[in-house]
This record gives sequence, structure tokens and C-alpha cells, in this order.
Amino acid sequence: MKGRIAVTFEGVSKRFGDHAVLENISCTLTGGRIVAITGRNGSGKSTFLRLAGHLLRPSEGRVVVSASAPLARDGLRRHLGLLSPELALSPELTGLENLDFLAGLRGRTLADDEKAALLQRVGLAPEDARKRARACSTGQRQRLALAVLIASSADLWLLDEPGANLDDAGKDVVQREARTAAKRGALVLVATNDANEAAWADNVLALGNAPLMQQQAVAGSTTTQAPLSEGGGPLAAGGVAKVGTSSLNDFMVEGTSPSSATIHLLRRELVSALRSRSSLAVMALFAVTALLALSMALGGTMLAPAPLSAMLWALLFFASSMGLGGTFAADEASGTLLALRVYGAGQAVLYGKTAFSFLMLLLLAVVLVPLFFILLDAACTAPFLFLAALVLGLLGLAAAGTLLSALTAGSGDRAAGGLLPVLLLPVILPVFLPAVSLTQAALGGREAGLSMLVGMGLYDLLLLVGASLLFDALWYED
Amino acid sequence: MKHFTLIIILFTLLVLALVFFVVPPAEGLGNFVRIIFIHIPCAWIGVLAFLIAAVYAWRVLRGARNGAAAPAAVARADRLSARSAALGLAFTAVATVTGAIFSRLTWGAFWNWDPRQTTILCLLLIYAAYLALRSVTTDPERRARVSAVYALFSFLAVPFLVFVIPRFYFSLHPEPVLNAAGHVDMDPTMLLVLLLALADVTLIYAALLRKGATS
Repeated sequence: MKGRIAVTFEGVSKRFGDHAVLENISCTLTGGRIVAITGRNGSGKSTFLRLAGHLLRPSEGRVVVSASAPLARDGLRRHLGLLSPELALSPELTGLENLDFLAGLRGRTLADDEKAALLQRVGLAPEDARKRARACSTGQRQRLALAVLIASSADLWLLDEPGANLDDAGKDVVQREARTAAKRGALVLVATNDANEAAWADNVLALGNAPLMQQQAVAGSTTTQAPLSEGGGPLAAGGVAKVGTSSLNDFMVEGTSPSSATIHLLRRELVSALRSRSSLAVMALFAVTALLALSMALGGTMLAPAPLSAMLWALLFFASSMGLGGTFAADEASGTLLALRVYGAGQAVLYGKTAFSFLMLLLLAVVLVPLFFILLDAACTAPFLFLAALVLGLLGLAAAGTLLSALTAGSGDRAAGGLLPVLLLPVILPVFLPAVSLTQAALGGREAGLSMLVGMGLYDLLLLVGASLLFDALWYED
Repeated sequence: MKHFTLIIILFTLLVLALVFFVVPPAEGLGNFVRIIFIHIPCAWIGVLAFLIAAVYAWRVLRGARNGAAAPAAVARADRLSARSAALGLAFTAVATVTGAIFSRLTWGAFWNWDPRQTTILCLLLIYAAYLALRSVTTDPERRARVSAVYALFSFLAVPFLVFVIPRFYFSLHPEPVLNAAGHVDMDPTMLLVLLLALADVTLIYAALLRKGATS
């Protein structure tokens, strides 16, 4: 993509419920400069940044981000970088692994010397970067996030209170890197209440009623609430302004291979799960405890294939619901979901999460199924049929459960997480019922035909395609 | 609207009169057959309401994707989708209860996991899950979005439950009105009254949905 980046707000308003945060903003901001977004607390600075990055949807009006042509959301993602106290790195990965992971989502592979240079630029010692992110200080994590931003080759920098959590040296690093990015043509938007940070800016955009800081002249820029002028002059919310020039600048942003990003995400999920072990352990322990309780209650009573297969799938269903519920909720709670939204394409995240969910459920089956056969004294007469039903059933659970996990996480209410089994059961019934029947057949019960396996496979495919088509609605809108 | 309501009330009274005084007792079922004139139309609305909810859900997502050009249209589509789901839940509940009564009278048990019973129960679960999801999501924009996604995603199950799953299992349920061979094996009077009942219940659903759009 060639051409200098530009962000245009056309009559943009943003409301949260009945509360209007921004009203009728119109302005055009072009690359090659730093623009400070100032205003009182609650004036909409962070909201402005998220609207500029298409991380939020306007209530009215539209935001157009263009390079040589307007960018669609996935296209914009390749240009976007965010530094914010709300953006968290994956806590179970080391700093270097976080760098590799988030750069990998953008399709970049960082060589060791590149990583060393990045760490040096942000003033982070190599030994600190080898610690897990959860063990780093807030300031160190902020420096790591800056290193990720630099490595992403973004040309739309969104800096939300960039000095928060940083010492003076750290703030200097941010300022230097922001200026370097602007010099190579990037548009750097800085939301701040700090007069020193606003002083880096070439222009200041004042939001809301004029706070004290906006009345002051800022070195190298002007601020005002007066009517707006064309050119690199004053800006204010509510009017129309042009900032910067339209000179051309050539810098390529590397294309992202969806499969490569998916593999990076899958690797990150696996590493995080193996290091924290929480969701896997909870899921397996729940399944094993429920199985032990059933076995104890039965007291050695032999069961027919029908109740055996029903019990196995009920155990798998509820244990899966527990594990799948955390697929997106954990990222939502830790703040890493924002990093995924900024640096990852929606489809790559969905595929990576679905693949991880499927592997997690297979692992659950590896623990649960042998115990089930031993404790309930079950015998399998058609192992291949059983395995096929198991794999197709778990694939359906993973495909539907991953999308519904994103849905409950996106509902913005923790109570929705508890609804996952309620939401999941009716959706997976077309694979659940044949899976129970096929398992019953494999345990020596009723006859079941190949057509059931075909039906399960087709429905799994439908779930995967449906999830893929619907996921963007959950991923990009807020 | 008042005239429309009056017409529906008169039409409903006419259909009830036909069901109870004109429809002949069926062979083997006697007067129990009259329950199908409530059961079948309610089951039909159960599926139709789901389809309508999914169509409006699609409009919600399409409106959201197009930016905020018409927030009022998105809000209206969300309201209609939710209203259709709520009506669908009520009609499906009636169909489930009348079906269970019919099952008890003819087969000796209220519930026996017949594929058709499973399908209607699945519809009930979807409606209940959809409305529960809406009830825990407080922000209106989020609520519209997540419930639209769920309405569309869960709709994937319907063709499988209606057309595929019944083929895998033995069913005691009578053949549909239009059977697998494409024939209608029903007394002409019964068929006429059933079609009138279907039209009547569809009109009741449409009127209640329309009321939801304006309220």
C-alpha cells in the first residue's frame, strides 16, 4: 500500500447508551506529523483514538482511513499500532515471545539482532525481556508494548496516555520514537492530559470545553476553540479542519498471511495454556470428578450402551463448556484481547482459537475416555466408529463453542459467561445426537449408519463456515 | 389497526367454530384430532418466527457494518428480531404442550424423544437462550449485535433438525400434511380448516409483531 496515511472524521458522534462522548467531529489528519488530542477527563480522547483506528464504531457519521485508497478494516489493521495502559501483553509469554507473537500476527518474523536492537531502542535490558510479562513491572510492559508498536511497522500510531507508568527516560523514548515514526510519514495521534506530551505535537486537537491546558500556547503548535482554518493550523471538535499536507510517501507494509497468523496464535494459546494450565486443569478435573461421582453412585452396576454413551457425551459437553468459556473471556479479563484486536486479523484469531479449542477437547478426551472405559467397565466393539464420532463431535463443540465464547465475552457482561452451555446445547444438537447414537453403536448397542457420520461432518463444516462469516461482527464492532 | 384487530378476532372465532363444530372426528383419533388445529399452526409459527428473527438479525448486522447511517433502522430491526423471538417462544411452548397432550392421548406418554419432539424442544431452547442472552446484555448496541449473531448462528441448526435428524431415527409422529411422496392424505374438510387455522395464526403473529415494531 503506497501513499501517506490519512484519517478523516465526517460528522462523527459517539454515544455510550444515552451518554454522548463526542458530537459532530469533522477533521482530516494526514501522516507525517504528531497530533495531540487533549481535553478534560471524559472529553472523549481515548474514544477519538479508537474511532480513528476503527476499534470503535461511530454512533453517527463515519471515519475513513486511507493510504492511496480507503482501507477496509482488515487492511487498516496492517497499518495500526496502539500504545495504551489498557493494552496488555500475554502474561504467560516472555517479553521476547510477545514480540515474536504480535509481530507474527502482522506476518513479520523478527531476527535475533532485530529484537536486540528493538529492546535497546526502548531501553529494556535483555534479561528483563526474557521474563514472563506477568513478572515485568508496569513500566517494563509499557516499553515492551512500544517495542511491539515499532516492530509492527504501523503508520497510524495511537498513543493513549503514552507516558502513563513510564519514568522520565521512558517518556523520552516514546517521544523520540513518535517523532521518528512521524518523520517516516506515520500519523501519530497522542491522547493526553499532560502538557509536556502535548508539547511534542505539531498540532493539538482540543475536545470538549476548553480545559486549562488547551488555552496555553504549545511549542511548535497552536491550539484554539476558534473557527477552523485550512492547512496545518488549529483544530477543534465540531468543525472541519485539514492537518498536514498530501505529499506522497512510499513505505510498504508487509502483507499478512492468514495461515501464518493463525499458527502464531495457536502457538501462543498452547504455550499460555501449558504454562498456566488453569483452563485445561479445571476442565479435566471437572470431567474426572463428575465421572468418579457417577462411578461411585453406580457402585459397579453394569450399564447398557445407551446410558453409557449418553453419560459420556454429557460429561464431554459440560466439561467442554467449562473450558471453552475461557477461550475469549481470559483475554478479555487480562486486557490481551485489545492487543489481538489491534495486531491480529479477525479470521486468523478465530481459526487459531478454534484450532486450540479442538486440541484442548482432544486432550480432554485423552484423559476422560480411558478412565470412562475402566471405571464403568464399558467395552468398545467398533473403535474406528467410536473415534470418528468422537473427533467429529468434538470438532462441532470446538467450532460452535469458540464463536459462542467470543459472543459471551463480547456481550460485556460477566453473567453471559455462565450462559455458554445454554447457548451451546441447541446449536450443537445436530452433532450431539448422532454422536450419542454412534457411540452407542460402537459400544454394542443400536445400529448406526455411515450417513450419521456424513451428517455430522456436514454440520461441522456448516458451523465452521457460519462462525467464520459471523465472527467479524463480534470482533470489529464495539 | 383497530379494523385489522377486529377482523382477526372474527376470523379466529370462525376458525374455532369450524374446528369444534364442522371438522369430523378422525378415524382412530376421534375428537382428539381437534388439537392438531392448534398444534400444527403454532409449530409453524415457531419455525416462521425463528426465520423472521434471523432475517431481522441479518439486517441488524448489515446496518452495523454499513456504519451508523441509520441507527434507528438498526434499532427497529433489533426490536423486531427480539419481538419475533419472544412470540416464537410463546407459540412454540403452546405447540410443545399441545403436542405432548396429543402424544399422551395417542401413544400413552407425554414425551418419548421422538425426533419431532426433539426438534421443537431445540427451538424452545434456542428461543430461551436468545432471550436470556439479551437479558444479561445491558448495552443496547452490544445487545443488538450479540443477539443478532446468536440468532443467525443458531438458525444453522434448524434445517438439520427439521430435515436431516428425523431421517436417522424412527418416529411415531404422523407424516407431515405434505408427506414425503408429495401427497396430501387428509380429509378435504379437515385440510380446508387446517389451512384457515394456519392463516389465522399467521395473521395473529403478524399483528403482534407489527405492534412490537411500533411500540
